Amino acid sequence: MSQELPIKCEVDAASIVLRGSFNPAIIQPRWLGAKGLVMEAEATDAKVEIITPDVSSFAMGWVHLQVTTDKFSATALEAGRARSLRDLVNGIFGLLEHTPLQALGMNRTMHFRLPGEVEWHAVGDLLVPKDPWKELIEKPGMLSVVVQGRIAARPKALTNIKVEPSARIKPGVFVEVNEHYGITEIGGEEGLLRTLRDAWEDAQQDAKRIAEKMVAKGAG
Amino acid sequence: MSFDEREALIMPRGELAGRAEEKVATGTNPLSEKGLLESVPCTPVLAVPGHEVSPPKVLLPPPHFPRRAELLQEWDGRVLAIANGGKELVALLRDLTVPSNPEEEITLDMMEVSEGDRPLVLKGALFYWTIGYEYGPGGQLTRFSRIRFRRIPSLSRRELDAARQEGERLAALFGYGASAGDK
Repeated sequence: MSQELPIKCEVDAASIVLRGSFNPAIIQPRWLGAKGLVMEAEATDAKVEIITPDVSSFAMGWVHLQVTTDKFSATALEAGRARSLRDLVNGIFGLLEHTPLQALGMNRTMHFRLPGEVEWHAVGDLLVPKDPWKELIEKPGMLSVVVQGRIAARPKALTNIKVEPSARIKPGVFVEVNEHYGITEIGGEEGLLRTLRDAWEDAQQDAKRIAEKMVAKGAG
Repeated sequence: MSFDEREALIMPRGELAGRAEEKVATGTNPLSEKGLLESVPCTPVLAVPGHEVSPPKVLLPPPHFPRRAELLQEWDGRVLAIANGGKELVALLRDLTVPSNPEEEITLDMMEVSEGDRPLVLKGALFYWTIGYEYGPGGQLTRFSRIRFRRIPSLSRRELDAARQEGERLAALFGYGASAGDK
């Protein structure tokens, strides 16, 4: 009988990705502070990596934003900031209400520490059984697996779950859960932002639940 | 000039190479876990006719990750009153960690609120409160308690118009119209 093993999620990042048509030069710290979307001190103390007409990338304390002409991404850099991240993105696109949007991704990326290499290999073996590969190549190992499906409570989204060995924690497993909404399925750009507002918390909880269960199943 | 040569001069801004579905993918950078950097093309320079020009590329800065942390407790709160000459706030807390716990009224020292958020501390204002531990670069464990007031966007013009139209529709449905209000 398998025991419940101590599997710890040690790095946990919420992120929001939007695809569409953006102007990177607008979304920058000074604008965010002037609009009251972040504290003025956060805007003033921002660490700017690059701001050009084609790309802006900067961190303000608890959040990192990166904008290109067709992709916007916001990542929470502190634990417990997922809800604030949602408010920030809704705030930005509430002000930039004419921004053409194509798709929304509500993401949670997690790194789990496993008790040892045995459990680490067991996760890989569960997801990618090695026997079919052993007669073809030597020492087959799982580098990355992506599985797509739908969560019953939110059938309009495609849920993509990626599992890889963690590059940050050894022995560890990286899991990303991406809940993807396209504009046609969700009823337009307002539908995308409404989904972000209303479904974000459930999406984050489901992402954690899926990742924990899958890693525990493999390691158990 | 051939068709292909003319096409090379008219590179759409922001056009990424690759399969069509990658242009609308909304996961995180697929290369990020391997430490590889994603690049995006910059605005192309004007080209001399007859000479193909590939747009220069900018490497996006590497991805950022939060520090290792353990969340112990999360609440969302609503300010009920400002007390003690503005030195304290009285709030109603809802437990987000154990949602079955009842709501709780507490008094918080205003010093717990970041200076940048204090202008937002008004009756009815909403906030998040998170408590946990964070690991520093050397593995040092630090306890944190963070209160962050919500900066909720106001409704857009489109949303306001839609809400007004829906209100008028419902009013008409229930027999309340502009004339009913003129009493």
